Amino acid sequence: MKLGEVIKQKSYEKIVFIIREHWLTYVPTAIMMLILAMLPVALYYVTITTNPTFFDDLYQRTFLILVLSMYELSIALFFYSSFLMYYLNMLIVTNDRLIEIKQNNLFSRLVSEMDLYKIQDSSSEINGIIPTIFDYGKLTIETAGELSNFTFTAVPRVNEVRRRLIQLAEDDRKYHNSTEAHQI
Amino acid sequence: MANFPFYYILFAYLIFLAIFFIFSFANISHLYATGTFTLPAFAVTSIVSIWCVLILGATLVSLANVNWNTTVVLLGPAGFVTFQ
Repeated sequence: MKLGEVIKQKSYEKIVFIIREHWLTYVPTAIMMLILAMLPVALYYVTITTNPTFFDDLYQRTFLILVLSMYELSIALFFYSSFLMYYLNMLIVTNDRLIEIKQNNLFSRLVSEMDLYKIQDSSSEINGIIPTIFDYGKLTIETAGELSNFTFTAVPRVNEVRRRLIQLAEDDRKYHNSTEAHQI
Repeated sequence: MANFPFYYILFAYLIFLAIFFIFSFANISHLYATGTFTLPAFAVTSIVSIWCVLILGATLVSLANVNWNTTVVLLGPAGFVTFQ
């Protein structure tokens, strides 16, 4: 299945860009998973040093191997699941709509969409040393009427994204105004 | 006092493996269903798959010489857990 089919892409619609959170935001999770995966190795060396005969019994060793196997496979699964949560959260900008996909957990997904011409204003915010160095920040999109605002955090090159969004919204508004003028 | 064959522990491991593969399949299906099976996703999937294969392979090799028909005795006269 392609992304166009997921968002029910219209015939005149083109995906302009897809925004995900900056990869740096996932690094702490990845490092934590790596530490958890290496933990049994550290425990093994501590145990061998303090009690060298601990692993001599074959059946005790077998039981520990099975437990260790389940532990490492669980870490691998949690790592992969957390990566998917990160990777499947995205903001898709087309020449007609803004579509936000939020993967809350493995079996829960929220999809919100907004027409571009309804965007009133867009603001970007970069706070902190690391976001400033790596150029990512929070993007807020304000809409007209009662629609709630879209907020997307850790957007890479957030200022450039904001400028492009405003331009796309302006172009879409002109298209809609000219279409309405033709109908009148 | 309770006795059971040592291979009962394998049943628990197999149940865990079944759950593991179900969730792994669900994860990969999500990638496919959302059209996001791109190069970074493929790379991470490959790394995790290799990691899992290595773990399963090491487990299989480590447990090759075990006599699974051994009886495990819990709370017996010889101790908390003994093997006969």
